[in-house]
Amino acid sequence: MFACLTSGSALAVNWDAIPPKTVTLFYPGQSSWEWLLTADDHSGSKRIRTGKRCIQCHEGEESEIGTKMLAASRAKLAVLNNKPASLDSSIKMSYDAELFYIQISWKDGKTDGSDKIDKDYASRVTVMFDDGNVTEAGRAGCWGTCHDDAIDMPSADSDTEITKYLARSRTKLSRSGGGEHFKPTEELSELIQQGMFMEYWQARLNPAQSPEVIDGYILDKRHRNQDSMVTANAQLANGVWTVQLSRKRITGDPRHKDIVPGQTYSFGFAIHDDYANHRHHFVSFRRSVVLDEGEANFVVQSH
Amino acid sequence: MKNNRIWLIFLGIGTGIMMWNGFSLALDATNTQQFCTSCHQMNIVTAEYRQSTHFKNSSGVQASCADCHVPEALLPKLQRKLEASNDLYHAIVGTIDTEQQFEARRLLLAERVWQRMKANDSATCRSCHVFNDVQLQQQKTRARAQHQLAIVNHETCIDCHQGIAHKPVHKQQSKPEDEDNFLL
Repeated sequence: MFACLTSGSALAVNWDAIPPKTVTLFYPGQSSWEWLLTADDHSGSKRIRTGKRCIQCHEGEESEIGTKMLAASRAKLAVLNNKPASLDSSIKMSYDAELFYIQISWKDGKTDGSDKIDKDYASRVTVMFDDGNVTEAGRAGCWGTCHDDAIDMPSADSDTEITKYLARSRTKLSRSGGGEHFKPTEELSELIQQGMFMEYWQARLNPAQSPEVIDGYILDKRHRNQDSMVTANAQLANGVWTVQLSRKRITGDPRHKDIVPGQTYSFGFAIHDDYANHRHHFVSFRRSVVLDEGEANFVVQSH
Repeated sequence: MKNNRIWLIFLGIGTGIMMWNGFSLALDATNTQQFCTSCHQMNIVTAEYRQSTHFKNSSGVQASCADCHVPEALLPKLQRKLEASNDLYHAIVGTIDTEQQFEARRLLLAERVWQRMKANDSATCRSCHVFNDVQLQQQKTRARAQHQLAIVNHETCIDCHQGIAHKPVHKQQSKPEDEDNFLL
């Protein structure tokens, strides 16, 4: 089976010329930002508070952690049968004068339609990133947006649907999250102007269909920009999804971060495979990204 | 007269040796596991220790109470013994006579131990675990990274390895205001 589908412009990148990096994603269970920072729950909380990154302790332990989380969460979450604890992805990045490109490949899980938690999409791949404004993104990547009261999380309120958000969007937070203690709209607008948000790209996938692209950002909640500046290509070949995402590096829009040389970015990746949704995803630790040169997990070259 | 002086010197040396040996034997006697665990106040921590890797492990090597709690060097050892004599007073007046009383003071007592170990650069740990001889490359990624950081940051063993032989009460150290602060 082979399908090549696009929701936007064709991507003029010679991907074969770019060496891939393997990023192992793993099942995070219900480990929230608050969980990470609570000593009783996470022995590394002090380290995180004093500036260490998750990956500094846990690199290479993704599969092991995923297995533990899978076992610990079974009672709380409807975990798909025989779901593996981790998933290897192959990631490439590139850029040119106008655009930034990222390609993510992974082996598709079973897609026989059984145990569909998400009825609409066979898979989803998400990229979240910050340019140094969001402290928690630098320490923990996506976890900075994953709070204890979000959907399917331990402190979720069945009457209130809370999506991802940043701590700075709330007037107060406790172990159970920040709930609806939103800062005033003016303050939130000011935070956006300051770049205090995480950019969020997602491709929602079904075999033999064009990907649906989400171009959004996360501050007080997960916002979806009306006019997407992100385009996506998706191919499913021999059981392997390959998704390419791109957008203009400099948009002039405050809800998008400029992607330029000289800046270090914190990236996080997530994959919802096999009709999974919400917490039933695989996630990565934070990866650093720079353009041209510098010390980072990904030193992206122009083409 | 001269012979008397020689005899007196020998007598002095002999008495000194006997006193030192006696003192040393007494010190050693108070360093034994049997002595340390002879008071009922120690029952709880002894039971915890017996479940720890410092007592129960695959190598058959054990660290006794004194190995961790009493420095090996003479002067620090004497200082520790003097400090510990205060325990006798509290044993007599019954400061900690029940499990509840122990649990109420446990964190305070543990913090004193950690302070002592931090002050002497975890000397008792290092009497077995020689940092320079540790093969970091043979350690798991996490341990290797942490130990490399510890070397760079001049951290000492007890900065991280609290609660490894007894109940991990260091987790109770987090102050409520810290736990409520989820904004970095």
